Amino acid sequence: MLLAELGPGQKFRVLRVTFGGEIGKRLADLGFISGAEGHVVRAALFHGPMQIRLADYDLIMRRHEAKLVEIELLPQPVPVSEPASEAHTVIDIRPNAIGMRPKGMRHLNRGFHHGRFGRP
Amino acid sequence: MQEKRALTIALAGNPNSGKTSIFNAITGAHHKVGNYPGVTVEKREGTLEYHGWRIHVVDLPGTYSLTAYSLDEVVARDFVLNEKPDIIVDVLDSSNLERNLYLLLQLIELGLPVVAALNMADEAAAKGILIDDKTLSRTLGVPMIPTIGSRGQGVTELLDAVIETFETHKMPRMPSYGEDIEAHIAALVRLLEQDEAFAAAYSPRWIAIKLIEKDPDARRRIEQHVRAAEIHTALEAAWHWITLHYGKDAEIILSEQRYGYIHGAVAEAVHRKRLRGISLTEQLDRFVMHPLVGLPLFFFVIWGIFKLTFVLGEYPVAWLEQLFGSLEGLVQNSVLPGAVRDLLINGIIHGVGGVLSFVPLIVILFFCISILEDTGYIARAAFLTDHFLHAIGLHGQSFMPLMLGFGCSVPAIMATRTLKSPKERIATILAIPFISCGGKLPIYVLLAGAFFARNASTVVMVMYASGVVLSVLSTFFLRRTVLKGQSMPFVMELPPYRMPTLKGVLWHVWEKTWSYARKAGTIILAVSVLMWLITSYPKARGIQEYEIHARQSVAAAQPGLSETAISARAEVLVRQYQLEHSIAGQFGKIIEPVIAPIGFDWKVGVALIPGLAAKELVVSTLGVLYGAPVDENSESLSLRQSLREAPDWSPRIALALMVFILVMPPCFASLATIRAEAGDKWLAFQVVYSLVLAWVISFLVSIFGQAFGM
Repeated sequence: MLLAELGPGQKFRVLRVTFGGEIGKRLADLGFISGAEGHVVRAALFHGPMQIRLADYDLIMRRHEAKLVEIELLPQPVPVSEPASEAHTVIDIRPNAIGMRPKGMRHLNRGFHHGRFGRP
Repeated sequence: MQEKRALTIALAGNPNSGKTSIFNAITGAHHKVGNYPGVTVEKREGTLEYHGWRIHVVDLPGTYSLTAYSLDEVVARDFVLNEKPDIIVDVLDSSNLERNLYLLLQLIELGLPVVAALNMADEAAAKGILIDDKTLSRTLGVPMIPTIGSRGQGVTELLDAVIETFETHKMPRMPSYGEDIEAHIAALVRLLEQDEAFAAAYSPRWIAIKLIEKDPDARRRIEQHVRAAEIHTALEAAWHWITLHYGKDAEIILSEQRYGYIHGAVAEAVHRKRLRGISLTEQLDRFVMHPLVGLPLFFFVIWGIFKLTFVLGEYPVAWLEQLFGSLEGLVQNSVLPGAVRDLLINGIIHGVGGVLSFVPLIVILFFCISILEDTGYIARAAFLTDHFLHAIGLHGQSFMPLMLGFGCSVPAIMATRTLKSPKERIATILAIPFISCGGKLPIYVLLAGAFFARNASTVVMVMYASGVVLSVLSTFFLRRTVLKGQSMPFVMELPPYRMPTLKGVLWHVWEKTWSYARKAGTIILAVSVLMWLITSYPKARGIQEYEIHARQSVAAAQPGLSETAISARAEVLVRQYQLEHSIAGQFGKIIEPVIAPIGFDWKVGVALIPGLAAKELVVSTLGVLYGAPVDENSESLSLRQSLREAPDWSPRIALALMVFILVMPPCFASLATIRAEAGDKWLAFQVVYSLVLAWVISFLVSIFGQAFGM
């Protein structure tokens, strides 16, 4: 699967950059290396550029370049052992907030990227 | 002790790492801006005295890596390789450490002592990232100094570390690529070291790594090596082994190995706390980058900048005009001889005034742009508009310069500096002159008003729209011919929003203004003087007799006129007579055969010449040629009358002339700016291209006009 096929909110792990040379080297330099994880934050209108969060930082790229990155889709409800780098992720640690909600809902909040359904 | 010891620092770092603020904090006010030799990449350098040291700081372009693919990266590494600074200081964005350490590893490989600044320490802390700088420093063998560049914190500690590193010759630890790749590197190094001159010039290890990374520049360099053939064989073996073993291209594997090394170093030294809540950046971006809200917001921002620049800018421009007006009066009433007075007023004062009249616009515009740049908005605007602009061969960052072109091409062309991709930048620069600037409006108003009285505003609007269409078509065409080629990969960092510092913004404004004055200002002044020269020399023979004759005929034609009215009308005739006999007048007659097919006579030819100096001058030159009174307020009105009554004019000619002026090369100030930003080659191209295009399009307009009986 290619990075360009993803939509907002989807998490991925980089398998490899399929193209060497200038573009491939630039992508690798910027951190698109095997095993790197990230997610698509948003996309511009009409299949325009994508905003990707890769490890600690955000970058924007055209679909054309995103087609060069082969990825595997990570399951939507993110595993608990996600990298601690996700400084922006909403994690509600209030006991009642966790306890009162059905399991599936909790995942929604995080899967759909920073609680688009409202802050907990 | 008294003798100053000298030391040169090269300041490196990622874009958005706060490198500029560190540079400003180190050098203070003592710095200058130039260019790296032979390229348009800006070079900033400064010197400071510190504890008996004279430290020279050179700011390298901000880069993520040191490949040979981007001009900035080539400039940065060539400077280090050729100039061999004493120390490299790498500014790291602590909040984004791993990607920043990637550049640090490559700097270490260049084989010079390195000191690192852990900049934006405050931002990292806010993100919950705690860095143990001692451990990190020990692991990498590079001194790590926490700094906050925007507040100048940690700068003295940084300088102390630089001096200590210099005195102790402390070398960083070379990053390892793992046993197998290291064996291939070692084999290449052994071969490279056999050419002593070569090994003295470049660090063999660095060349070996770059060769494995398929760096085209490194491969060119080893052509001169005495063992070039054996090196090629060893290199092929290394590539073959890596591809076989890892199943990927060698250049990708080396990047991955570097990141692997970094992960190892960071695992020990960096601790992260999970933070609650959504960052402010993310909250803002939900609006700013929203698919539907973002674009209107962006248009509003552009509109605001436009208004601020060209409406607010009018006041200082008016003050400058007043100042130069009174200066003019002073010279006019002085005792200087006539010709000198004339040169001072019409050549120099008008020229300097012309140069300075752009300064308020540039100051305001770059004040706004550098705020947008420093906050991180420019990258977001590129995200929103890239899709549409990419379709015609431009870049998301082309949008703002093009919009500014409606005001004035000079600051618009300068605003293309935010574009990093050379081809798209040139394409944007060449597209801007077709956008009707403020200077073209008076011509449209005059001609449309004179010949299309009922539909004047529609005609003016059509001219503006044609300019936009032409600029799109032209770009589309150029990007498929002379500017052919893949656009640069659009992969940009999206930095978090940051508060710009007033000092940083003011520096930026000063640099831009000064570079305009230095690069474009001098040419504009020179050309103004030249324009004055060719419109007022050679002095027409028998001009005194002509003046007497003119007065007599005016008085005879309209008896009962006051003495001042007669003088005024006679002066118009004299000016007309003088212009006709000047170099410009002669030139107009020479080019008449060329422009005759369009339907233009020599007078139009003459009017177009000062049009090169400034489009507004076309109107006043036509005024002189068609004998309109010199009074500036009524000029346009009575000129309309004169043009309508002139036998050789018709709506068709007026339309063709408007089109010609829309397409023809922009004013000299813009041409000087194009030269400063894009070089002589593109200046020449722009002039020839737009002249030919102007002729062809206005010729077609004229023919169609004739067919429709205009």
